[in-house]
Amino acid sequence: MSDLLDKQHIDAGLDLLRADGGLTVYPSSEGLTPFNPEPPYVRVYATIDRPADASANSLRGTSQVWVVRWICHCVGLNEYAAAAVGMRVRAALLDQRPTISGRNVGMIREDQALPPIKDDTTGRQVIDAVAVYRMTSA
Amino acid sequence: MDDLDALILAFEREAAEIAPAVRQVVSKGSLHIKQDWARRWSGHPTIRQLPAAIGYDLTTDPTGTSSRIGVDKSTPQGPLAHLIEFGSVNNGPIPGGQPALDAEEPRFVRALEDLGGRRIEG
Repeated sequence: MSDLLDKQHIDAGLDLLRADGGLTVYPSSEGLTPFNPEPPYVRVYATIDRPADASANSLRGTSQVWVVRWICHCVGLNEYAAAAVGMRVRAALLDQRPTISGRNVGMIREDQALPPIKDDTTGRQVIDAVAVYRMTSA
Repeated sequence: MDDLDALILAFEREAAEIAPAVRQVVSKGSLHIKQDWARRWSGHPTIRQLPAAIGYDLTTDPTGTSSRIGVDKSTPQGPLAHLIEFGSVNNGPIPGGQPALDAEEPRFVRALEDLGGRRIEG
């Protein structure tokens, strides 16, 4: 690959989360997630979209606008524990402006916050509160 | 009637006259999002019925037109939608609604700008 831009965008949020020493973040800095980790923790899925018709795309038509989303599963053994993880995630991400070389980066905004729900996909019931954060760069 | 009153009246009249055209734009945008979302969720062997559960409802009232686009939870796989869109602690997400919305947003804004421009130019 010719650049590491995708990883830099994904890590822009993950590094902010990992900077909180009291927050357990998966995937780890090695990119690993255990099967059934001990709560509390945040499990993050990152996606990058490059809308074809974004108004800030270049005049040559190249896809200049990148939209990163971090889908943060804030996990605890009860609703208050999940909410506490959510608060640490919010403090780490919301309204921060990461730096990515060669890119104009916007502030991280919250897209959605879902109510806490039970999750037993690991074989143990935990409470999962999902919050989605978004950042746009061009 | 002074000039300001005339301008206010013109805007109020324009809002009423443009409403059907705006509804068409919102309807078209909703259809694009629905189709894109369904396409993104198609081809997965465990959620074969989910793409067909995506729909939208248009509402028009004196304040404007709005659209709710989403999954009908009363369908057989509808209750799985949030797990597919956002994932779980053990299963990765398959985003469909959000990227479809992102893709349509610039086209929707341009369509409304074009509509407004045509009305102003007469």
